[in-house]
Amino acid sequence: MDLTALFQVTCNGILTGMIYGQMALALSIIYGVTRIINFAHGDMIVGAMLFLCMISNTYIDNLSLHFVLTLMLSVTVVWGMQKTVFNLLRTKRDGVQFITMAAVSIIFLNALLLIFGADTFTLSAPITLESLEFFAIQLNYGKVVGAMTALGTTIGLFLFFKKTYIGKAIKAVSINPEGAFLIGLNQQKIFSITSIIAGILIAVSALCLSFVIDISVQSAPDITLLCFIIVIMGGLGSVPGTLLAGLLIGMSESYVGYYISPLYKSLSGFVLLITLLLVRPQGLIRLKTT
Amino acid sequence: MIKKQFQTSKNVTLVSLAFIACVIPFLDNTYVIHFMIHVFTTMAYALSWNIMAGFCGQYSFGHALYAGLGGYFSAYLFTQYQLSPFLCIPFIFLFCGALGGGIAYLSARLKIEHAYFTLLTIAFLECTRILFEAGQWFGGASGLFIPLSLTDSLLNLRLSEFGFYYVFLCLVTFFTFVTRGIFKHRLGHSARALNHNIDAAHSVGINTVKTQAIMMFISSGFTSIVGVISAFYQNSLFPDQAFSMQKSLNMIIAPLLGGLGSPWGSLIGGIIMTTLGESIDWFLEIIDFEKGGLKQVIYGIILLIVILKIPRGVWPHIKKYAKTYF
Repeated sequence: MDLTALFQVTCNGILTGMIYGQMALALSIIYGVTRIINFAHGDMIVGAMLFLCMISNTYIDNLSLHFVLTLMLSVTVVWGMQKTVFNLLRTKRDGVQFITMAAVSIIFLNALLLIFGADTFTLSAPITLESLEFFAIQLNYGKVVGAMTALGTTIGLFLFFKKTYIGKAIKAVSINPEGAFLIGLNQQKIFSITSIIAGILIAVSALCLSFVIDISVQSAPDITLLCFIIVIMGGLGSVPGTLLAGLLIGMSESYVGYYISPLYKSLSGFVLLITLLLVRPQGLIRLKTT
Repeated sequence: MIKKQFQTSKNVTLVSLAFIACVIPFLDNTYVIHFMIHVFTTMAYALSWNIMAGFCGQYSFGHALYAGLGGYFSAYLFTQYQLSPFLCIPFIFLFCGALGGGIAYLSARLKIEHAYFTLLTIAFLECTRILFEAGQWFGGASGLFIPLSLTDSLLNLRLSEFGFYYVFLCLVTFFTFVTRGIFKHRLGHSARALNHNIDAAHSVGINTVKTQAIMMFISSGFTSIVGVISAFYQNSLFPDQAFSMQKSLNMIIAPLLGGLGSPWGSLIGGIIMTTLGESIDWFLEIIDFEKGGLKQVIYGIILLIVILKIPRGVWPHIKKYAKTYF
C-alpha cells in the first residue's frame, strides 16, 4: 500500500470535509429554529458563488470587497426569505411546507439559470492556482485556505452558541419554542438574528467552495442533497455533529474516488446515510431535548 | 334525500366523463391523443403516490425509483429475451412492492418519520441512479432502447398512440377503483387514523408498522406498473431521467394540488398540472421567448400561490361547491 498516496488522499478528504461541514451549518440552524427544511439551500449557495465569481471577473481585483458584497446580498436574501416564506410556513402542515419549499427552490434555480445561463464559472483569485508542499504531499493552497476559513467559522459558531447570550437564546428556541416564548424570548427577533447568521454562513461557504470547485447552476440540487445528508447524519442542530459528519463524508468520498472509481464518489454519502439511519436514527451527536 | 340526489348526479357525471374519455381518440387528432396520454400518465403516477402519502401521511420523494426499476426490468427482459411486458408486470409489481414495503417497514419500525423518511427515500433513489449511471448495467449512461416494430401487438405493448390511450385509460380506471376500495376498506381507515395521530392509532390496536408497509407495498408496486407502460410508450430509458428527483417531484405535485386521500383529487390534480404545463408552453411560444428556465419559474410561482391559498387542494372545494348545487 502506498502510504504517501493514502496520506495525501486523507488530507484532501479532511480539507474537503471541513468545507462540507461548514456548508451544511446554515441549513441546520434554520431547521433548528424554524422547523422548516430549506430546499433552496443549495440554490442560495450556488447563487452566492455565481455572484462572487461574476464580480471577481470584473476589473476590480479585491477579494475582500467581493466577499463583503456577496455577504450583503446573501444576508438580504435569507433575511427576506425569513420575513416572507419561513414566517408564513412555520405553522403549516408538513406537506404544505415541502411543496412550498420545493416551489421556492424551483423558482430560485431557474431564475439563476435565466440570469447566469448554464455555463461554468471559475473564481479568479491567484491563491487557487498555487500549491503548498507539506512533508511529501501536495495540497492546493486555495483548498487549505478555504478549509481553514470553514473550520474557523464552525468553531466561531460553536463558541457563539456556547458562550453568548444570543447564542443561548437561539438554542433555547430550537430546543423548546413554547418554553422559550414563556420565559420571555422575542421569537421574531430570534428568527431574524438566526436568518442573518444563516446568511453569513452561506456567504462564507460560497467563498470556501469557490476556492475548491468550478461552479455551474446545475450543481445546486446536488449541493442541497449533500447538505441534507450531512445535517441528518450529524444530528439536527448540533454544530460539532455537523462538522463530524462533513469530515466523514469528505473522507469517504475521497477514498472512494481514489481507490474505487470517481464515478462512485457521490454514492458514498448516500450509503453512509442509509446505514446511519438504520443503525442510529438520531444522528451522530444527539441534541438534548429534555 | 339530498344525499341521494347528489349520488345520482355524481353517477351521471362519472358515466358521461367515462364516455367522453372513450370517444376522444375517434376525434383523430394526434395532439389531443398525445395530450390525453400525458394527462393519464400524470394521473396514474399521482394515484399510486397518493396511496402512501395521502393515507399514511409519509411523503416519499423517491417514487421515481420504482417507476425507473419497473421500466428498466421490463425493457431489458423484452429486448434480451422477448418476454412480454404483461408477463413481467406481476413479478415487477411484487419486486418493487417488496422493495418499497421493506423501506417503509424498516422506517416505521425505527420511527423514521417525516423529513427523515423523505430523505431516506431520496437516498435510495440517488444510490440507484448513480449505480445505473456508473455501473454500465442495462446500457449505463448511454441509455436503453426498445426496438420499434411495424405490427401492433397488445401482448408486447408495441402499439400506436391510439392503443396506448386505451391502455392508460384502463390503468387509470383500475387505480381509481382500487384507491376507492382502499378508502372504504379497513386498511384505509387505519392508515388515515395513523396519519392523524400515530400514538392514538397504536393504542386502539392498529398495527401501524404493518399498515404502513402494506400501503407502501401497493403504492410502489403500482408506480412500477406505470413505469413499465410509460417506458414502452417512450421507447427509451436513461438513468438520469428515469431516476431523477424532478420526476419524483412531478408525481408529488399533482396529488397535492388536487387534494390528498380521495382518488378524485389525484385525477383533478393530473388534469390541472398537465394543462398548466401545456398552456405555459403555448404562452411562451406566443411571446416568442426561447431562453430556458422561464417556464419553470412561472410554474413555480403558480404552484406557490396555489399551495398557499388552498393548502388542502382543489378537490375539497369542488366537492363543497357541488354539494350545494346538486
